[in-house]
Amino acid sequence: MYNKTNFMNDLTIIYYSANTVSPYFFENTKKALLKAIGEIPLISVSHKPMDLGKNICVGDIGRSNINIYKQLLIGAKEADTEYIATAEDDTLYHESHFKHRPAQGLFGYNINRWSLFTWSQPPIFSNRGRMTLNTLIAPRKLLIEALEERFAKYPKDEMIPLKFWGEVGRYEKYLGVTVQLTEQFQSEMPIIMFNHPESLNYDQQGERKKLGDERLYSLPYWGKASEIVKLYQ
Amino acid sequence: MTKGIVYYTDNRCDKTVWTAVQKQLKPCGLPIVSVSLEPIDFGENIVFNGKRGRLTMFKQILAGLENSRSDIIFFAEHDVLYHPSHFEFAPSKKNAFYYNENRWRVDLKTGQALFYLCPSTSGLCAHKNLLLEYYQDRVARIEKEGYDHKENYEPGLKTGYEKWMSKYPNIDIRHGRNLTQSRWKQEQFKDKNTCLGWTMADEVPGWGVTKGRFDDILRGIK
Repeated sequence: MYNKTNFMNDLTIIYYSANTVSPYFFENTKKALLKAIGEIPLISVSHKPMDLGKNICVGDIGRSNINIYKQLLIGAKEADTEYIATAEDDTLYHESHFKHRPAQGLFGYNINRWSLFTWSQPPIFSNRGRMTLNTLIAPRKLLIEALEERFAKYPKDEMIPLKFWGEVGRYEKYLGVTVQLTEQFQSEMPIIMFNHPESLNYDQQGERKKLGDERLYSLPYWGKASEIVKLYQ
Repeated sequence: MTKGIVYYTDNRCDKTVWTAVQKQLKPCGLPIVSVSLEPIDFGENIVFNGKRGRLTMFKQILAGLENSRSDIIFFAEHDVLYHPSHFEFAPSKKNAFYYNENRWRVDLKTGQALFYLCPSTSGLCAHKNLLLEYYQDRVARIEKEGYDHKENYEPGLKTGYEKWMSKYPNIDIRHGRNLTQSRWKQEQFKDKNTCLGWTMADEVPGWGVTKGRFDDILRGIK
């Protein structure tokens, strides 16, 4: 068991959502999230009003990769802790993920993150070891600086080179903004990201998306992919 | 580049098992060289005159490689059910040993299924020249120095190998006379990193429920 009092006071969860997932799926991921975060404060920034932590409803601004970062910035500014952790509506988090703190000045990404394609037969977890936004634990002020610099350089959405608009620490060189440094970590227990037809990524790649080379039929703590996939279906 | 299969057996496997394995292999359509200790009617058969054991197995494999006319070789064992998706793979590097880690073990009697990540010779695929070079050297070393228990059965395990996972798994049938030990509990592994992905199940993806009906699956393969 983790001693939550040691690591809950310096962290806020920033949950961003376009509210496109089904109520059934949402309830399942929410249940896992609330169990994982315990007493850690949560700010949700959503397109529709939500009963989840402190909610900021931004209205129907449209679902896009740019708006995800706008929502994240709004949440980060609302928080007052040293660190923030991101949370998404299609990811199952484990409490060990929120125990990590990155070294000073670094953006930490958890690579013990496994994908579960809801359409994949047989159901299987896979991992590419990539840094993705839903696993970020970041120094809050530095995150705000980094995102504000981006939006200052590209005040209009249409100016943004979309192929480089991604995780902090990955594409700054191409965006022409201050390069941010990252670290990768692995939580004691894995976290699971669903790839599903309602996700932004599905719009781009659909079911052509390839499984990662590392594949497992079950994961510690969570169990079998064939059972976990039912949380979506 | 052509693909082919080298199948090796010591003819000591349960008939229900080897019959099912051979029937399962035939529709894959690849040329098969079989190397056995007694004559069998399967592919292009070579009878190897030797006593069952590690050195004999390596020599059988070498004989199979030397007689295959294919460029890319998939190994096949008499107690492994190969899913057709296994043979869809093509190795991109000529100098690498590739292991299909999508392998479930199924107990012949109970049908209990178990998965964990572990490279096995039964799932090996590589370019023939690389395999020939390895097995010629391995056989020569064993004949000269004896069998080194510190060296794995599987080529490349210490020097580097590649792995892949086919869309559907192969089934490694555990029948009590396997050359390698059957382990059904994680406690039996000193190094827990050698049994990552541990999954016990009553069914195997792509094959259906095995628990209590594995014999039906074997007999149902036409």
